[in-house]
Amino acid sequence: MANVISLRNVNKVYGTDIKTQVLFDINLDFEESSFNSIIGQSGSGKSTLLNIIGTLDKPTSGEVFINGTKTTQLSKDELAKVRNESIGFVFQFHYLLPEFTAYENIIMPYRIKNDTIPAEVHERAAELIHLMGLDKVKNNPATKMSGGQQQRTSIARALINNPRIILADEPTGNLDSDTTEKVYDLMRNINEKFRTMFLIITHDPRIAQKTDRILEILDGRINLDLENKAPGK
Amino acid sequence: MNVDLTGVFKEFSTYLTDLDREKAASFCLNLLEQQRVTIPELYEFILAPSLNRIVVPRGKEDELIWREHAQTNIVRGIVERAYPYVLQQRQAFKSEGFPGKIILACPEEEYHELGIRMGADFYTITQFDVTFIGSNLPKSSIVSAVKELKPDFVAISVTNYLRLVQLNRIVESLRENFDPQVKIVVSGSAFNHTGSNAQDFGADELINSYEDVVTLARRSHEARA
Repeated sequence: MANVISLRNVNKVYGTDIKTQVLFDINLDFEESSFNSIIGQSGSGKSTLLNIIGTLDKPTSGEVFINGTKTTQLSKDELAKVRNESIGFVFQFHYLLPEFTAYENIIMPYRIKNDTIPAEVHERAAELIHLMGLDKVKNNPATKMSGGQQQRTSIARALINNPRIILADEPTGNLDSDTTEKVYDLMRNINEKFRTMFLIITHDPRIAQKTDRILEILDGRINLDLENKAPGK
Repeated sequence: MNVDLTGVFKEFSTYLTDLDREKAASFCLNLLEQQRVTIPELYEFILAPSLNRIVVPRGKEDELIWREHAQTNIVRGIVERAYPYVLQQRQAFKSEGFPGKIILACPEEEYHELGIRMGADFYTITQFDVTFIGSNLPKSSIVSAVKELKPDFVAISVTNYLRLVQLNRIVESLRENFDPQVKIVVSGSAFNHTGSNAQDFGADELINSYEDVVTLARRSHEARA
């Protein structure tokens, strides 16, 4: 299968006078429709790595390829376009806009770049709302939903532009175990239905052990890269 | 021994699927009593495959996990009741000498212990002095057991592939404290499922079968002689 993300010799150093290197020579490939997790202690470099992969941050040296495009040479606008079209983000805190409904939040990433919303985008939003089990609360403001519903709304929002990649930073970090299980099931359903590649940072062993590949980051380096080929999983 | 293992496996699987504890147990214990199978044959060709055939696909967990656990409990009961035959079959290895002392364990949050429990019997048969210290053991507890019991080998079993992360730390800690006196062997389906080997985690050897245990015992005995 083709790689949707490739990193070549990625290093990240923060600071100018006092330099702190947080990533060291990272080389990684992620295949389309794969379901991956990153684990590691706080401060190990996980979120920095995810931000660099998501083009929210730039490596100090090295290259990042998204769908074969070398992102390190793109302008700010070109980067924003790649990001908006290819990558969906899910965070621990949903960052929904409180004055908008679930439905309006979900179509927001499309609305940002387009004045009018065509019928197929409304249809896609409706499909995602149904898939996420949000039919009953789709017209609720973000503040009038449970934590699980808010997180599912944020996942639907990440999917509205039909990205090939979802980057998730502790998507279940704020949820109880039942809701965690539901959110995991939804991510898996999306992965299977739309062949979306997932890269999930997690501290939650219930999530990590169910992903197909676990990367452990230790002190800014890939310490373990394990792929689970077991049937069933 | 001379028995149709495929046929035996099929019959046993039927009892297990029916959750018929008594038929499943008496069937296996009769096979041992009548010397139609050895302990390694029973474990490797009948009991382990009968559990490995249970795959729990996503979405079927509620339906299948309790069933898997019930079947595992039946098999665990059979393994415990087979111990007299383990001691009996150990006699066959008496002339081969003492290969060493071994501690068996699973890392913290690894609860799948039946595989290594069966492995404990393989080590017993081949004349190792065996202490099975159980599953879900913190690294510090394993280190403490090694300090106290002073084994020649530590065997760590990992089924859930996320727990391979702990294995790295356990091996590092054992190396720091006990290298080179203590050899580290590893086992468990996590290795097969990830295509990993012992060296990937700094351990000495991957044990996949009874034959591997026999080889380890003979090699160790030769080295001690």
